Amino acid sequence: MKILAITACPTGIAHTYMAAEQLERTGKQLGHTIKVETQGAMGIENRLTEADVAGADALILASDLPVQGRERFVSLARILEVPVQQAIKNPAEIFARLLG
Amino acid sequence: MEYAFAFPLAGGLHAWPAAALRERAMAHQARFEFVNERTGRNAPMSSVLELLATDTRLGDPCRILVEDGDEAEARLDLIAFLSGPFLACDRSQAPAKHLSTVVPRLVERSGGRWWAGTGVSEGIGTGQAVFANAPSAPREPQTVPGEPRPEAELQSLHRAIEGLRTQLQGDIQLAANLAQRSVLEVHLALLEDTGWKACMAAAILEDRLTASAAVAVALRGAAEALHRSDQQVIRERVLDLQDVADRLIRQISGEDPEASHLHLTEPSVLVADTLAPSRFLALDRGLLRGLVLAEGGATSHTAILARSFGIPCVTDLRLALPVGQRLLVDGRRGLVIAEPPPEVEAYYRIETEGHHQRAEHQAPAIDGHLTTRDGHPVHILANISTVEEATYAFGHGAEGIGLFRTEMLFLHRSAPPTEDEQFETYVRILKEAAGRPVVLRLLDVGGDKPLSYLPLPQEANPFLGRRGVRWYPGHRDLVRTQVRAALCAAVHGDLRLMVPMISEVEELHWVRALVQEAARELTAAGKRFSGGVPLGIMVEVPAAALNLEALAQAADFLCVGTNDLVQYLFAADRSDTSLMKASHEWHPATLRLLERIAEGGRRAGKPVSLCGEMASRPKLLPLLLGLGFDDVSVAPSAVGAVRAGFASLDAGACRELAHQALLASTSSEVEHLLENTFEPVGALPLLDPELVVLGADCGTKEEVIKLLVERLATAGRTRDSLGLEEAIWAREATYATGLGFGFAVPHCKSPTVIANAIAILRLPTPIAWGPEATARLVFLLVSRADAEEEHLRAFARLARRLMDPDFRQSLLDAPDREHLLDLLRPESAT
Repeated sequence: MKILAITACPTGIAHTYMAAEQLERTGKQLGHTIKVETQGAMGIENRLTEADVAGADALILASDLPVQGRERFVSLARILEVPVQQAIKNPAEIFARLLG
Repeated sequence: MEYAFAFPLAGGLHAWPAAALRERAMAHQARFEFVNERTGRNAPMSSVLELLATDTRLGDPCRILVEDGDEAEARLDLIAFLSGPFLACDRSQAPAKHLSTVVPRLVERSGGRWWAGTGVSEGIGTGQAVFANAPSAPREPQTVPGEPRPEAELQSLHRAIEGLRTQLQGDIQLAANLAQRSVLEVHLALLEDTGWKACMAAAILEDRLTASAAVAVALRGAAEALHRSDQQVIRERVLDLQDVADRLIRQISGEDPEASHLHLTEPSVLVADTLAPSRFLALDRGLLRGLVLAEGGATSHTAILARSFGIPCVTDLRLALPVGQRLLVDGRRGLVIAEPPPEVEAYYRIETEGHHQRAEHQAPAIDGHLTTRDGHPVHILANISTVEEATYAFGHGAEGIGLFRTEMLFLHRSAPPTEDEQFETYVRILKEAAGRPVVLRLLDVGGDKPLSYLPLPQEANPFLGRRGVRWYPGHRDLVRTQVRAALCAAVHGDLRLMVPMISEVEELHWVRALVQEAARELTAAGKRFSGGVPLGIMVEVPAAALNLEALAQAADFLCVGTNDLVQYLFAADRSDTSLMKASHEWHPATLRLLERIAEGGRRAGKPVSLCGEMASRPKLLPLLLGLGFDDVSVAPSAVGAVRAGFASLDAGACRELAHQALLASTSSEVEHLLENTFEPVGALPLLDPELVVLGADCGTKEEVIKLLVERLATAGRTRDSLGLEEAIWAREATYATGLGFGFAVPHCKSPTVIANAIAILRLPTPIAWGPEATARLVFLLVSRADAEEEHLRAFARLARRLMDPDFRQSLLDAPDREHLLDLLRPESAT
């Protein structure tokens, strides 16, 4: 499956990237294609494009604050919002909930 | 005759300046009356108490009336005093800087008893609580039983005053530091107070009281007058007054002065309502670990003494405690903790060690050449008046004497010093200098610094009158004698001559001719002298700065005197604080003039240095360096701090800052630049072996964060360790930073951070990290509010890599900190 994710945390110097890394690792292990956008202290990186959204099946928002550009994903049916901590501590569970 | 002025001291007319005024006035036959126009109160200057009772504050319009005796000379002497040494009376009064009241989390969490008061002397100390009784209350007046013998009582009073005077004078001689001496001098001045003495005598002769009762009555009257003041610093003098009265009463009754002393037998924290300065001084300071007082603010003399001896002190606390408790005194935050648990003591131990390390770390080595961080050479010299100051300055790293003020040799005497006398002093200073340069400023006197043996016509505005070089033509012989003494002394070292108050090239030609004439006389007399003494000028008149090209051609070197230059540039009398603002020093007009001088000197190939208050202000050092002043001369006491300040600067960044400051249009714009866009510490690497702690003995999260913050402070990554600690805890409050596999990544982005860093601590066994997680390896990431992308990227990279179990294991297995740091470097990432 093709899965998108956005990670963001208030300070934007650690949790954003740890969560992104966990989601990427776990997604690959589970055999998915995954792309994660980070919204941290360096701004938006690895931005999710229209083409990404068009080909995607689901979106994970691992964030403790409102993500930027949420209107990009109105067409997606499956969106799961979780605290950023959960993406770091228990990423497998997030995928299970998203796809279960 | 009278002299009107705005009161210049920020602390008001408190005891030290009052005692200094009195002393200066007593040296003259004239009578002085001090008048405060705002409060409408007058005081004879012979009475410190009455001076205090005028309740004088900064900026109050004041007048001093001078009558009889040597009134003309006395008035001039007083003016010189008020615009010079008097301004220094305020300084050591300043309370300890930035005391925080944040209660450490560990203390709050420990559940023990603690109290918050006001910290007035920094430091941390632990000891057994010892309770001091309040000093004996003023005794009730008693009439003499039986036949009243007022004369005998008066005699006994005078004997007691005499005895206490001898004691105080002896104590002053033995004083361990300046604060102690100043406090004792105030006590001596109070003892000698004419108003108080008259009041005591009247109580004996007219009211027929005993000597002791008379002291108590006079004390009550004087104390009431001081209590009426709305300035705490004056109300606090009541403690001094009680102290002197108490000692006087004990003298009268023949009590052993030792009898009231407290004897400490183990490390102790003294708890008292108040503590008289003399009782503080009588304590065994080797065993005194802290003071807890109910009364007496930051400017009470006991607090000042505590600071000068490094004894932590908390006031505004009235503790009721059982005997035998252990107390920890935190003078920085103003806390007292009863029976501190081990982890609280450990926390404070970490803080204390951090402070000690920084004290050692931050003093740059005093030998060898000083450079900025980017290798630009700088020279810090000292401004002195006496041989003692020269000794002190060289002991603290001065590379020479940039300004030797010779006026001290000429003031307060009935005739000018002879050539031999001057020669001897100059040689002593050159010997102290041992080959380092000594810039001797030729006599700088005039209407503002009068000499009693050379009466001058009174000038309407002495600062614009015959000062410095303008005074020389009328006193040619005096100046020639000084030049001769200097030329002979120059054989013994690197002596240079500097001419004050130059505004025109002809003035310098005149002095050069005088130097040549002196040399011819010395040759004729067959005396040994040096013919090649460089002759430089003080640049302190704006006209000189604007005609610098011509003057730089004629002079061998230039030295900017910023105090006068700024005063003349803004046409603002520097003794009038309502006109003269410190911000004039960083006003764009001043900066442009300074840049012009530095540039003019450079173009003419003549060395330019700078002496004046400006160079002693740490925040202005980046500007001065950026403008091209890498050679400055400061007060001996500032040499160490200015050396440390320059050593931490980046000359390239300073030039950029100065460039921007020159484009500003107001002082506040420059101030904004200084505070916001520039930090003297430039880019430091994120990783630093000093920031890696392996095998630390920490039992709590609080201790771990404290330890890492102290390391960051010692490594120069923050100047506000308490503020940074708070910022990290604020971040922790939003959510815990434990990652759940024995790793924790506390972090924060905060203006308290000067340079970004990663601090690392590895524990032998995991500790609790919040309610759920544990931690064995802690990475503390601290970032400036405007961190560079490169560093943010490094933080992000580390955060991502910590998600890799193999990487985490290798961090836990790394045998030492070098291996650990190697693992973290970008090139090791796959």
